[in-house]
Amino acid sequence: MKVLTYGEIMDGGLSVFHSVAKLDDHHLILTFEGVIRVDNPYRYLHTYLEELAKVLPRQSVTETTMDFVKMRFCNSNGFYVIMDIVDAVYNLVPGRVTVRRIADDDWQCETLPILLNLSEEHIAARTNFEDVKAP
Amino acid sequence: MSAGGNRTQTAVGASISIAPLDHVAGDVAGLLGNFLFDLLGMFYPRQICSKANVVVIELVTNVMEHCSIRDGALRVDLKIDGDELMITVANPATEDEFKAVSDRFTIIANAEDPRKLLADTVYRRRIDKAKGGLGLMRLTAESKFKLTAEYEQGFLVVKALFPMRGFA
Repeated sequence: MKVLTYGEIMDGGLSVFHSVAKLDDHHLILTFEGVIRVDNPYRYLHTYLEELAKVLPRQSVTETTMDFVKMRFCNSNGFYVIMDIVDAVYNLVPGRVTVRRIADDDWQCETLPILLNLSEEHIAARTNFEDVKAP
Repeated sequence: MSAGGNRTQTAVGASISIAPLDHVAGDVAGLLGNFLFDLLGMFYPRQICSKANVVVIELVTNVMEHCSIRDGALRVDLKIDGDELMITVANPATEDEFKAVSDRFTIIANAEDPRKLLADTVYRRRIDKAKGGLGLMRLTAESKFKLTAEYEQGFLVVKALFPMRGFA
């Protein structure tokens, strides 16, 4: 497993959110952990977005997992930055995308599909969900 | 600890007031939301606790970002029992501020498909990263709250109601 890049949000001196992009052979794994609640998440994650744009096209990827199971909350201030991260995946690497999420979580079941832009046919065709119980 | 009775019929109430708003220096929305999430977790399923958490965080964040009368008070009230979850957030507001919020509530309340309204708004505003109302829209589209806004004695009073059918 090779870590490609990661991004982190600090709030009050503590790490409250981090996302890591890892490569396991040809399998890209993006994890999302913690909460996004800060006013301007781009302040912390713009470098991560720039790094994703640089490193993802250089990888040989056949499938991707985006794991949201440990992302407990995203307020509306965080919607666009999540969209930018998932866009980087859909636009820069090929193959199927599995989205891991919590089965009975309102934000992951109702709003996350909007942020993934599943209304776009080509994105929906590449995407499947793996619903898991809350950890 | 009593093993009898239906824990999801437990009546819980909480009222929190902070004044002046100007003295708030940290993530008060997160603190209040997480406190209520943990408190309700003793009695109610995670999905209900999450609804309370989301609504408190979004509504209190709105107050902290938009309330212009900073020497006034923020009030948060929670009431839950087997029938409904009701969260009320109040802050001082001018009549013009109330009118602006009220117009936004009317659009959200009249939407035939709240989820489509949220999706269309997110996609339309993504270009300039504009926010304005996404938090309120997600409370109806995602968490299925019924929202109302009233103007009472100089306070903007936002109420979020979730009927507990199927959970209690």
